[in-house]
Amino acid sequence: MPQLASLEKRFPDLAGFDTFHARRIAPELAALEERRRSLISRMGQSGFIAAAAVAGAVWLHFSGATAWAIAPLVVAVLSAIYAFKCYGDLRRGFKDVLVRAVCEFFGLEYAAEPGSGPLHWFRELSLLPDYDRSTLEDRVAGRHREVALDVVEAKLEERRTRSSKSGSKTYYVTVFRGLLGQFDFPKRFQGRTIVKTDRGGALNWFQGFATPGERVRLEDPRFEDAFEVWSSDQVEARYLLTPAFMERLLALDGHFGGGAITLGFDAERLLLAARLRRNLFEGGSIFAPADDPKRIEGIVAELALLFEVVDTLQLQLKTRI
Amino acid sequence: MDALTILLVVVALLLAGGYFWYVSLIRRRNGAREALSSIDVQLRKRHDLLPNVLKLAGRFMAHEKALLEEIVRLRSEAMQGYRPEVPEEVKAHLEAEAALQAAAGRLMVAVEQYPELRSVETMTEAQQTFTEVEGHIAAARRFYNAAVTDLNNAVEIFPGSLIANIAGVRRMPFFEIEEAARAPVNVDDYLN
Repeated sequence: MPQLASLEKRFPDLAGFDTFHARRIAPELAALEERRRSLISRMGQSGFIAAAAVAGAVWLHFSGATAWAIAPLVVAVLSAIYAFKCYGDLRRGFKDVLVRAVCEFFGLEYAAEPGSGPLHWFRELSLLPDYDRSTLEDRVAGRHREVALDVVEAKLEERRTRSSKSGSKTYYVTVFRGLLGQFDFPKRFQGRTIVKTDRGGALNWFQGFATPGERVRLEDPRFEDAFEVWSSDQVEARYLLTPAFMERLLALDGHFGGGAITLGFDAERLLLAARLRRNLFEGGSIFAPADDPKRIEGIVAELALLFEVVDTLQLQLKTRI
Repeated sequence: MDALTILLVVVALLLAGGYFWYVSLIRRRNGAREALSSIDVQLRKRHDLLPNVLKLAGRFMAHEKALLEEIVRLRSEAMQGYRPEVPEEVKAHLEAEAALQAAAGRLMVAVEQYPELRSVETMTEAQQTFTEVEGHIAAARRFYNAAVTDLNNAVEIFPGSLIANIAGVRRMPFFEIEEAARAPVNVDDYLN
């Protein structure tokens, strides 16, 4: 696959991917492409039937036979449901084949539906906003540069109620969307240290109430401008957040667009919650050909975001200082 | 409101302000002392580690006898007691520790010249532990220096200087690394 050669230049870890692609991915992609064409054709037919049924229902309504319009409307709804099912099947197909295969190349495990996940750890350290409903997907786990990582995509929603004259209405608002990751940390420690984005005067004060531990003031003014730190142990917080590590955290914050990351150090692990605006690991549009190299490029770039955490923070270093 | 009432209100405000300033000074001084004790906890780890390292090093590093003796002397100096409420004694204690840190650092560099010693598993573990302990000491030093900066600013800035003088709160010394420990290592000294 000639396009992958340019990808290998950008991501050196992809060396040998060509062979892997030809052996492991290409045969599955060929089958997927056949399925994609067939499902897209069925989606088109369903869409056409739904549109024709709606048109028929409208015509019956204006012809004075409104009661008969229900039948074509039922047909329209069923056709639309079938079209959405085809769409969902295709999306899952791309995830299953492409994301799983690329993860396999990097020695990582992939699960599209991870179950309960690590939310309780993040909740315990108050790394996440309050929420009432959670959706987890796309769990990637394994090792990068000998550092164990376990990352999952999360969407957290808070229930709200709006009252009006006609009664109250309950709706959900997204309060967090992004990655929740657990990484091995190369230092031994016993306490808990939490690093949150600096939200400014009064908001920091409120953050302090919700965060366990004592406020830690560090000597790097750039770091202090970007983050607020709380810890159960002042010395240990400084042992973890060395001047070099603070620099790396600032660089990592930059990778995620600034003001988007929250971290917790607990039980010799680093927990990271990173807000993202986009949904990762989708495998690309279902309307593009299955073997479009942009699909692989997209997945590799998304995995690179996880590797960036290990590489930028240099979690593989065992210097312990 | 007559002049006397105004005067009484002003005096009351001054007394209240002075009291709160005093409370803040004492809090800062106690904070600095707490940070000092957390340094001592970490320094004790270094003191406990060094005898084992010296014992092992003594068997292989015959040419470094002077350095090993210096470390023994500096360690016993650093372990001498001091009164945390006397800044001069704190300063002497921290200087002794800084000198010990520099000498211990030189020893760890010198170990690199002795492949036989380096290959001893106990020595490798001791080196790793030493690095870890030094990381903890550096963290405790940063905590202490931050607390001392807080205290010294409060003691030196008027009217804190006045209240500190009355309350007997004094500046505390920073824990600074000795120049020798900061200087880059001359590799030639060890690779000849």
